Amino acid sequence: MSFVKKMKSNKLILVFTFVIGAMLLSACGGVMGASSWPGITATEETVYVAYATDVLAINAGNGTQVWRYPEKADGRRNFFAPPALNGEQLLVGDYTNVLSAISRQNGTERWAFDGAEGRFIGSPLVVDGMILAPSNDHHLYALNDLGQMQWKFEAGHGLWGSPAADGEVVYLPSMDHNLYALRMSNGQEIWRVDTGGSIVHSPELSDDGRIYVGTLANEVLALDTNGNIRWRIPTDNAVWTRPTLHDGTLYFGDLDGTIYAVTADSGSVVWRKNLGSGAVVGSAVVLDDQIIFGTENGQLYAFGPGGESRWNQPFNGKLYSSPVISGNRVIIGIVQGDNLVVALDSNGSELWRFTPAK
Amino acid sequence: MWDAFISLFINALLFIYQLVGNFGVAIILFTILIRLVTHPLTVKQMKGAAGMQELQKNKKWQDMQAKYKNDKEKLAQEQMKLYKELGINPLASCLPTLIQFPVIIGLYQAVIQALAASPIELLGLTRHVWPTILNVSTIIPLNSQFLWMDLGAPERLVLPFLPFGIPVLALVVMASTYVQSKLMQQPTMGAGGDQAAMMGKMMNLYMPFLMGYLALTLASGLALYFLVSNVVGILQYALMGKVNWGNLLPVRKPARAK
Repeated sequence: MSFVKKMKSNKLILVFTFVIGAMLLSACGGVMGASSWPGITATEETVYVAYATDVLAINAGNGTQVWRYPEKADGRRNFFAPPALNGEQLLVGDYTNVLSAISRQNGTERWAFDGAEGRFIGSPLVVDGMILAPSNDHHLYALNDLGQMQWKFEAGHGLWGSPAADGEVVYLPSMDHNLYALRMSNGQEIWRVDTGGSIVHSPELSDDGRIYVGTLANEVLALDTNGNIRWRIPTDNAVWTRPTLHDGTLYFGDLDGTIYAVTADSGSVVWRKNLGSGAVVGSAVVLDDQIIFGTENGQLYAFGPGGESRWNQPFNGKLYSSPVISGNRVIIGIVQGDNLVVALDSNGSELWRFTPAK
Repeated sequence: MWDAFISLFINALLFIYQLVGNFGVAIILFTILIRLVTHPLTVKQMKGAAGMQELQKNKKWQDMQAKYKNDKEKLAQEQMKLYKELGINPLASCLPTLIQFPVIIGLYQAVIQALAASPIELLGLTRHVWPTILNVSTIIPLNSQFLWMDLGAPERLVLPFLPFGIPVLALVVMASTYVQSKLMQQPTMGAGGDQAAMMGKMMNLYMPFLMGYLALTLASGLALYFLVSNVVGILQYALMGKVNWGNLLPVRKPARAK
């Protein structure tokens, strides 16, 4: 090769390298296709899935798609927060800071709230006609069912977990380490407790007025409605899941892949086991007295209340989403796998699987 | 391998953040650290440029310019022979710049993952953090505010009397990249005939626009890195006496480096 040709080729390589570098960086800057995992909500008849550019309604009986929202996908608009049911409306928050109410019947938009300045990562909570939507812009927005803001509350950092409420008081978890208690009528702060670590998921609220939260500081705490910490127990790693309360026992997992059964009244560990299948990120669900956990390495486990193994099923992909119950079925969301949603019966046998059309 | 590289970046960045408590300051200190670590490359780049400059004083070089001024192909062949004979790599001054790209991409990923604005990023961050040096419960969530900027998002300065935000950082990055390239521009004797010199000029022309575009569209944490890196680069060259301050004056021809 002549020197001139070689120099030209070097010049091309140089320009090409810069262009590729710029493209790589620009690509990293856009909204990624999967910056979270499917958010799922279900009734006995329909499974609603928020994932990437779509919100999908799927027939819970046979796994066929009923509708898709929006009709034309917008690459900038990503949905990951589990949709919330509000009568005939389905509430879906997205990563362009918009909370939309769409018809559960056909997926048409009813209204949209665009007053937030941060992503909707956590699911909204609907209590007594009031919509409580946590945003990553540090605010909890209280809306009526027409999408009009009633009040907003500012926390110290992003809000990723859905709040819990008893009709009078809202218990709001925050990434700023605090659990806040707010008056539901006007958003006024009643108390706040520094839990020592970010709270990613929603708290569990019991009928007898206890609030249970897991934190990234490797702990699970129980508080009373006055904000007093009644007990706190250490875990092997960060707790991302909501503790699931069933018959006086809390079930939860940590990022080491250890699952725990703890008495709700005292925090004593009843049993614990490391599943050896990657992190437990999704909360447990209970079906037919079985406690069901999904793992990062794609295993779905069912245990009896005493910790005895009932069944487990492997899947191709990661089970980060919290499984949900639809009638007598367990519905799981899968990320980085062949299917997006799979339904199983209470024995772990597959009923149907769903992959969205491209 | 790449993952380990990113982990190293994230932990170094977060370790500094843990010490100073401000992510913007952490990026500035981390950039200075990166420039210190890559200082040998900067020196190599400078020596490569100086070698090219010396070459142009070489009698053989000057003779061949005159002899083959109408035969570019032959001239290029003879230049190549001389490069080999003197052990000069004409791209030696470009390579250190190219090596910066993995560093920039690594830093970008480290900044984005450290700010953890989505669940996947936060989950990834908890995997990357080395608990022996970092306390996850205290550093998460990171405070991404620095001056008027959210370091995880592209920067715009919003003024009350303007209906749009001004991309101050992108403009400053573009200007500082231009100033840096002008200050470090070496004089050429080949009257623009040398391909390497032409390539250098082309890069000096396009680089400010490329860096400005990246600063405009990517997280401002990265733009802050570009800016600090440019400023530190100018200081490094100035301390080594290799800056041509006269090049900034528009009417003067490029002054010869010391």
